[in-house]
Amino acid sequence: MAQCKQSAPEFIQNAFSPHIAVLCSADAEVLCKKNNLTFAQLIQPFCRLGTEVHIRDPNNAPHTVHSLRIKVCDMSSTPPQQADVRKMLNDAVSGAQLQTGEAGRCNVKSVGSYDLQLHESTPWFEAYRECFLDVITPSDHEYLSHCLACAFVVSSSNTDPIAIFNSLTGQQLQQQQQFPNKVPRWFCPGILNYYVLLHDVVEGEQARAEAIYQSMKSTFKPHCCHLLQINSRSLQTVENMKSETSLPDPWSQFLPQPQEIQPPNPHKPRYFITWEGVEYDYLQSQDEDSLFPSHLSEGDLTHGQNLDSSSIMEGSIETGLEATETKVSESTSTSDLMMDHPLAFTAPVSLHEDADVCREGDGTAAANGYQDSKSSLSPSELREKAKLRAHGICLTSSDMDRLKIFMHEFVVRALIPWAEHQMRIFNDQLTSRKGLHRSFFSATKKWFGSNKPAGPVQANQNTSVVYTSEAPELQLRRLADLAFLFQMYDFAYHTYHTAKRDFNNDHAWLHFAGALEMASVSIFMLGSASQRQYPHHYMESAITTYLTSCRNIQYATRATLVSTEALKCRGMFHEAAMQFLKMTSEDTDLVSALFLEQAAHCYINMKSPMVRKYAFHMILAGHRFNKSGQRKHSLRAYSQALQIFKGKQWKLSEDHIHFTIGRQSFNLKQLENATSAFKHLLMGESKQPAAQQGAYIREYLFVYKQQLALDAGESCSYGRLPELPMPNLDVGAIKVLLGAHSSRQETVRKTPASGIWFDHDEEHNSKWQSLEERLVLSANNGVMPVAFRPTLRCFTNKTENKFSPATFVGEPIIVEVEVENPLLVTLVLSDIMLLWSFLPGIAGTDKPQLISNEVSTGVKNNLADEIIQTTVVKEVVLEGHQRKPIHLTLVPRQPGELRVVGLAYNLGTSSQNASAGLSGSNNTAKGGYMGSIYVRGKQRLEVQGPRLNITSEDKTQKNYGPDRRLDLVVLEEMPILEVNFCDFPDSLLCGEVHCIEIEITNSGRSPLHRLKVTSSDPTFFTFGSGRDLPKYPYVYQMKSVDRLDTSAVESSICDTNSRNTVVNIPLPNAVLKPGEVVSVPLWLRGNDIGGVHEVDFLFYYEPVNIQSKVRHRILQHKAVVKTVESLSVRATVTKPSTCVTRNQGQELNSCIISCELENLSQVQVQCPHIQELQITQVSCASPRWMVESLSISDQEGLRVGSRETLQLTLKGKKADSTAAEEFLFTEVPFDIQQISSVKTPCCDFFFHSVVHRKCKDPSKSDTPVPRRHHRPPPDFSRLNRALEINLTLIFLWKAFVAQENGQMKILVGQHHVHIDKVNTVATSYPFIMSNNNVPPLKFMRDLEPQTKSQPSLEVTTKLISFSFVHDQTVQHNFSKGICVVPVTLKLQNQSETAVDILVDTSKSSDRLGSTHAESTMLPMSYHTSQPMNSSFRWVGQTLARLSLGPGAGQHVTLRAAFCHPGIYNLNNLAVFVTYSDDMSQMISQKHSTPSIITLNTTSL
Amino acid sequence: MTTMTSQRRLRSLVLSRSENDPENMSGMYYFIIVGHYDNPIFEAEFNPPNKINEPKIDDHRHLNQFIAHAALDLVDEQAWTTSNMYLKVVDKFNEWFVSAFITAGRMRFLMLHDVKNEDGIKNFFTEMYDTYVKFAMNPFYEINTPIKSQAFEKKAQFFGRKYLTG
Repeated sequence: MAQCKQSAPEFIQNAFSPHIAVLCSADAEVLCKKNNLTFAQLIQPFCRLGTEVHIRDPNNAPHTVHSLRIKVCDMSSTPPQQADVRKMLNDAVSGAQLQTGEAGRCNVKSVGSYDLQLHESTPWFEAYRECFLDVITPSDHEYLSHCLACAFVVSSSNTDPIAIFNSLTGQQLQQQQQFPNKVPRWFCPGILNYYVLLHDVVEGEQARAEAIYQSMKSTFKPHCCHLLQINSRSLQTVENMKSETSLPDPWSQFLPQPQEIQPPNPHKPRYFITWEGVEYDYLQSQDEDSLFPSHLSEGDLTHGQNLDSSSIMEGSIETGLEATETKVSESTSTSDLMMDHPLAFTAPVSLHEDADVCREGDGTAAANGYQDSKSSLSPSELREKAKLRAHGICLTSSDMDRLKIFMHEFVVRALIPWAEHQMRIFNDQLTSRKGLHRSFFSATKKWFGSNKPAGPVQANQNTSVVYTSEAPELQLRRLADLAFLFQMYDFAYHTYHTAKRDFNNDHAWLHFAGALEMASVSIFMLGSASQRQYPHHYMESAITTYLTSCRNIQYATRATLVSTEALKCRGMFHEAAMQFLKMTSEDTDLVSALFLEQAAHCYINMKSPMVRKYAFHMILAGHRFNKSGQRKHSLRAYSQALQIFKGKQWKLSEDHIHFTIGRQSFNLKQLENATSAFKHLLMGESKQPAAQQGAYIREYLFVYKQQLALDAGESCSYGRLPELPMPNLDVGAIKVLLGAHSSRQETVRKTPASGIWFDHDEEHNSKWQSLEERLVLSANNGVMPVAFRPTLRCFTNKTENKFSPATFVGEPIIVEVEVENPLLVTLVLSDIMLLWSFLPGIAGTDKPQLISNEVSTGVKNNLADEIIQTTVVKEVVLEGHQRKPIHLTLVPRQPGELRVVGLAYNLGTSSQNASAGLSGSNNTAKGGYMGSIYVRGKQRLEVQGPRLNITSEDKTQKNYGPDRRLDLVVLEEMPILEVNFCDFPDSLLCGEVHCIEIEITNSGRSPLHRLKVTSSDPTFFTFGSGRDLPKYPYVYQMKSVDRLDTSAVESSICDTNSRNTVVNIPLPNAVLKPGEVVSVPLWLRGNDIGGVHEVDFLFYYEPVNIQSKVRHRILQHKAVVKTVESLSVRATVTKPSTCVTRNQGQELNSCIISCELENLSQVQVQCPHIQELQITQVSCASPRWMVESLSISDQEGLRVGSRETLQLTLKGKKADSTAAEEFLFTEVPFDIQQISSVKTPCCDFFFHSVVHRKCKDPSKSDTPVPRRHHRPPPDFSRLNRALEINLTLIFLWKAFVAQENGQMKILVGQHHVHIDKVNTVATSYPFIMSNNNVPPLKFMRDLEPQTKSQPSLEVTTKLISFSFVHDQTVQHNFSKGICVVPVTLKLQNQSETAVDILVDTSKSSDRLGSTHAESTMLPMSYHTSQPMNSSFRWVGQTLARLSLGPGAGQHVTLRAAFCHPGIYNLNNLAVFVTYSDDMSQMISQKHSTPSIITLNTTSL
Repeated sequence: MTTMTSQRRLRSLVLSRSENDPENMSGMYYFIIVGHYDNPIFEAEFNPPNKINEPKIDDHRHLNQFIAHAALDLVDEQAWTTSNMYLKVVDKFNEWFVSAFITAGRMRFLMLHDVKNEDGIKNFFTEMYDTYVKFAMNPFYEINTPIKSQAFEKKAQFFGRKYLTG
């Protein structure tokens, strides 16, 4: 429970204080009215006695009465109506507010993990309590609020005051007797009558007053009369008064505030000046008059004159507490604040007369005065107004002292003696009766414990007992009440206790409850003096009885108020909370709210505070406050509860709290608060359904819009956009793209270079980077510049963003921001644009000024738009939970430093879905979006860099590197290259050669040069070389038939590596001027592998005049080509075997090339497909070989249908002499037209394929194996030549393609087959070398093989080719003897080393192993002993030894002798070869082809 | 000490509940696990099978949270007085009873219910404790963070049907 201003005993004492009534004559009222007060009001501030007084109880024991307070009520006033009561209570609560920002009243309490800011005091509750106790209707069952006395007041100016006194007395008596139920009620028949003669010092006649007073004393009892002198200051003086008017106004506390004159603001603090405040004020006045005399000086004396007077009189009524004196200065200030009304309105009066005084005086007063004087009110009117408001203006401080004395006199002289007397009477009456009673009841009556109050009996049982007003039970009660009022609590308790039992016996429940209540309170008031425990169960049952048996909620409420105060005081917070909760009910929202709040305070004040209970009850209280229309209190209660719920993830609860706070704040016009509360509803993960979210966001937008309108109206700091909570921006995923055009108009014919777009994958960056490095290397003659940094176009969170991206004037900067809608409802963003700040980098200006576009004025924005052209995205609609990228473009127009700082947009939500659905058409739906409510705001874009992880400090802490992707440097203009690919095919046949044109444009404003291009796939394209390029769209260059068949081409042109990877694009005059367009033909060749291929092109160019450190620029293009399978070629070369011509024998320098051509394409329906392939030409490119056709008439062409295979055999011939680095082109046409394969497209692709092949060949690439060799392996390449062919067949073909529309199209293309070795199958289809030939990883070092490396056996057995030249058929008459046939053995060295050859006819090659060194050394004589397995025999020279130079050939003449006719294979000899000097290493050569000779016998 | 007061009167404390007849509300359960920082970790509602199709009163879902949250004070208080994990009914607000269970790791299981079902709730708590312990052993789950697991939810619903509404 909140701390109160009053302690519990104080409160109870005040709640139950003696009441007296006042009855004034009309003239007395007039006197009081001068002070704008009634008499009752006049004396009200002096009703508390500062001194102790003494009273004797009926047993004559003295008691001390501390600071007795008398409650005065005007008899003439009418009690307020029920409705008025409710309004009063409401006003009391709503009027009492906590001052915001009053730090002193708010203290921090830490409970567990909760840190709470609590308001200790609840002034509204106290205000309610005060008010409630004031208006509670007096009841018959108790006499606590019944008037004990009546003061009759008559003016001394009256002609016959005594008569008036008498008539007033009569009036009172009449009322008491005739209308006993009329307010005020009277305590008992013989109340105290007190006669006051009111004397106006200024107007009245002192002597006469004295005289009347004397006669009064004689007429009435002398101690019941008083002469009260007031109004020592005339109204004239009042008008002349200056700063003295700032005297505190002790009355203001007690008077209802006239509603119409309350200015809204200064009024507020008034409610904080509660009881103690009054006393401060009063104290101050007393302080000023501290030397006030005991004798009263007359006249309108000023303060200065009063100062010399003597000390305070001893018996004066002291209203101030000594302890509070230290706070005097503080209270002065508050009183000043309080007093500003009278001051404000009296000041102008003096203003006319004494202006400078006013200037010295209160500044605000002067200001107010000016305002008022301006408002053309006449001084008299002002005076009237002043009179209306100021209280006690005619009273000097001496008058106030007189009032104090009056009250003291009244209490001490009249009231207390009366009370003593009355109590004695009651006591006597009762003791006479008590004896009787005692006999009836047991003697244990006094025993406290045994007599538990009988609980409330059934509610329906009526209180049938009706006591007469003079019934002894009620007399008992009167006695107790009187004792209680005069603080004789012990006596009161016993009396109540007795009465309680009587009432219980009589089933007089109301009386019973009242007695119980008071008995309990009496014990409490006894405090430590009593031996008894506070009987809170008495109170419990009292409340229950009030509620259930009597249905008297008013009194139950009062009992609760008193009881809880007592419980609190005893530290029984839990019980107090229970009692409060008990009193909350459905029908009284205000009371319930207050009580719930108090219960909450009880929970938090418990020994172990119950924070969460506190929160819960605060929310309940807030809810009830809301229902009772107390918005401020509701807001406050909810705010209190929010402290506990905040950030704890009780989402639904939090939403409810935020929503209520938002609503209430909005209702209270605290728009900022409301906005932030609604903002909370939209942040984080919401568990609300869509409809609720929609309501939230609409509410938010509505409130926010109002706030913005308000802000814009009153503050001049417009232009700064507010920050919006939605949608979520993924700041890390921001991408910045430089130089790309968002609108890529792709025409039918032209495909512009794609450049980089946001879908660009960062993983490809390294690929582009290597391409760029290649280009830069080639541009700088193979040296990489030190300052080289790869050019990045797209900056994302995966790129290195340590450096500010450099961009150029006039080139767009596109920023992609990904927005996500966290809600389920549709959000509409409109007029989205980037916010930036720009620092111009113009040299010469003294200090560049930071320019920003975050201003709302149109003119400034236009200016900003001239510097940085900012595009505005009209509208983006975000469905629930949708993510969407938004692309925003900036085009800088000046060099400088540009920073993208934020995103500005209008946030709105879709208007009702229903309307959109109804209208159906897109247009109206859009209109709905636009028409719906929205607010303009921004969100910041700040990118955090990657976490650093280099130093140990970085690793232990969380340090983040800079990310400058949004800090751009704008540099001077650069040339801009644009490349357009005209008619770029999206699909090619495998091997198809296609000619397109590319258009190169410089769209920048400065010239460029050194245009280069490279590609990830060099085999894909060629720009051609040579002068006479075929005219587009012709693909191949034809050649006239009469030209020579063979032509040698310098292969050196293709030899440099750079030529293959980087291509210089020739430009006219080597410079491309701004706006110039150059068209260059480009040939493409479809990849050999069918499928989709991505080919990256990277164009490189340099500005002619380099201004910045950026020396080159690049342009990316990614082409996607789909290739369709067309032709596949397999080719094998076999060495000659049979004799072709009779006379020449076998051609050892030729070979047979057999090709298998297969049309792989399939006939497909409604898809372009090849119907037929026609081989138009086969060209051969080889350093040594030429190709010839075997047939004679090939002109009609070779056609291969779909899925058909064609076998084609060609003859290869060795050229006579060629340089190693030259290629010889030979062509075999199968068409009328012959294509010049030496010319550009054809040979370019051939060269590409050769280079490509070399690169791909894994044996050529570095493998880790050679490192382990101690010495380089011996070079056997010269030997290997024996088997090498090194021949490339180029198959040129035409394809008849059926297109989708059924039309036929003829496409041309070429395939390459590289044949390296004899007898191996080569294909046009490149084998993908899988990496599985990587040796397995070994952990142990294996032994190096110590054997000498040798060329492979395959090679060494075929170093020499040989053939036999002889007659094929020999006629011989065997009867004449054997036949000797001369045979020429032709030997051809196929290798490129000199070899020694041993021809041994005595051995047959097929019988011999590969190494028979010993047998070759056999003596000649053995030859005859050789076993014969064939019927012929070599005769004559059987052993020939000879050497052959590289590639040389020789003949050896042999003779064969035959005994019988028949068919013989002459290939029956052994040829041994050695390639080294070591003759022992002779290797037998394999030659398995038989050479057949037929011997016929002639019978001649 | 509980907030046991006459039901009739406390009904008036309901925040914004539209007047439902008590029978309509019977047999409803609301289960919540509260972490060490008074943060909810898991929530589930169990409705009797015959009411499952009725439209949920969404505006009152926050009330469940409020009541459960307020009961934490009493749960914490009682935790000191008993060695049992199952604390039975600790609090009452209007027609809602709050039963509680405290795990060895000081996670608080709360159950709001409008019918007495001591054994069922105890069984449910025990089973959920078992499930929770298994779930918490997942090294990727950080204690005191919301449980977002389909399996856990399914288990809860299963035990809810088995012991509470079924």
